[in-house]
Amino acid sequence: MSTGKKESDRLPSAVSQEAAQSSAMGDDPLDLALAANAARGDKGAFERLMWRWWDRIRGYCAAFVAFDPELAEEAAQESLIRIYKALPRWRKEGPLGAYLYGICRTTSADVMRTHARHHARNVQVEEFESLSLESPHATGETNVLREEANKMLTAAMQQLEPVDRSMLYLHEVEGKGLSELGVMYDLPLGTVKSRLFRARDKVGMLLREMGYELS
Amino acid sequence: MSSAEKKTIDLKAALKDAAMTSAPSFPDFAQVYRKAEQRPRKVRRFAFSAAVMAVAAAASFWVGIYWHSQSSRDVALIDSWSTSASSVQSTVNIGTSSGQQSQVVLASSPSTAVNLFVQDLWESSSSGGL
Repeated sequence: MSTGKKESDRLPSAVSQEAAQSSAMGDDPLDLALAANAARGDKGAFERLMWRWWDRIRGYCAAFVAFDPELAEEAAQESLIRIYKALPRWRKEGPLGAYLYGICRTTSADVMRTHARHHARNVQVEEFESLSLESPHATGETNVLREEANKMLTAAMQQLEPVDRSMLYLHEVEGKGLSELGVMYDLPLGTVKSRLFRARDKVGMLLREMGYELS
Repeated sequence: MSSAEKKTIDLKAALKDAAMTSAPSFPDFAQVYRKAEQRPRKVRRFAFSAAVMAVAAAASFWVGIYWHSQSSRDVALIDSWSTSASSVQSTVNIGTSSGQQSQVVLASSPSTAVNLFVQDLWESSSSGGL
């Protein structure tokens, strides 16, 4: 703990005050309690906390690495390891979510950097253009259309910077507000707003070229 | 393509769908605990490098000690040096006698190049021998 005292030695009122303070930052009290126990080495609490966060963690990592299944798996798994190691050092200066997403962000960036040394992961322009030539209307089946639409969206998302990608994901899917994103990415509100606008605009433009519109 | 043919994509649903499709379904906690208990790769690499450097330093120290003790034991370029008034021809004699080490005796007149070279070697040696 940041105070240097054992958690068990602290007064319950101090813990509840801390929990109340963190809850005010948007954290679920159960998550905070689990995180506190996990920080003391309780593996059961860690696993329960991670199960509660698993969809958010894996979704965020997948968005950061542009939906590459291999990279997404490595990033998500490595994020868990780093979270497990880092939880005892969490100072509770910010929301738990921002802390966890921050770890996922640096982990995903490291994974991408490691793989970039060996492979060119970004979709080349030729590949991107070839996608637009494929007809998504061949079979008329809903699933195929949905898969094709996802393929197009993935290709468009790959053209964004990883940070913009993940920011757009958090905003659109997780419903994170501009101020939350500003805290998480340590960016001014105006910068977050303009980056989100540009990212969405670019995705929309690329999809329009392929015959799709964003709803 | 006309605007009528354009299909719509729900960004939120499509992003979530793409993320959930590409991301792993289950966390592997056994791997988490196993890797968390291992020392970090950087620490392991540093420890290995430090160990190699320590062994190399110790080895080079002892080799240096041995070399130093060996190099000054049996090697002497010039054991003695003397001058004489009589003129001599430049000669080199190599001789051995039982129970003694091999000897190389060099005789030359004072002005010859070999004499000057040997004299220079002799004078550069503070202890009277190299």
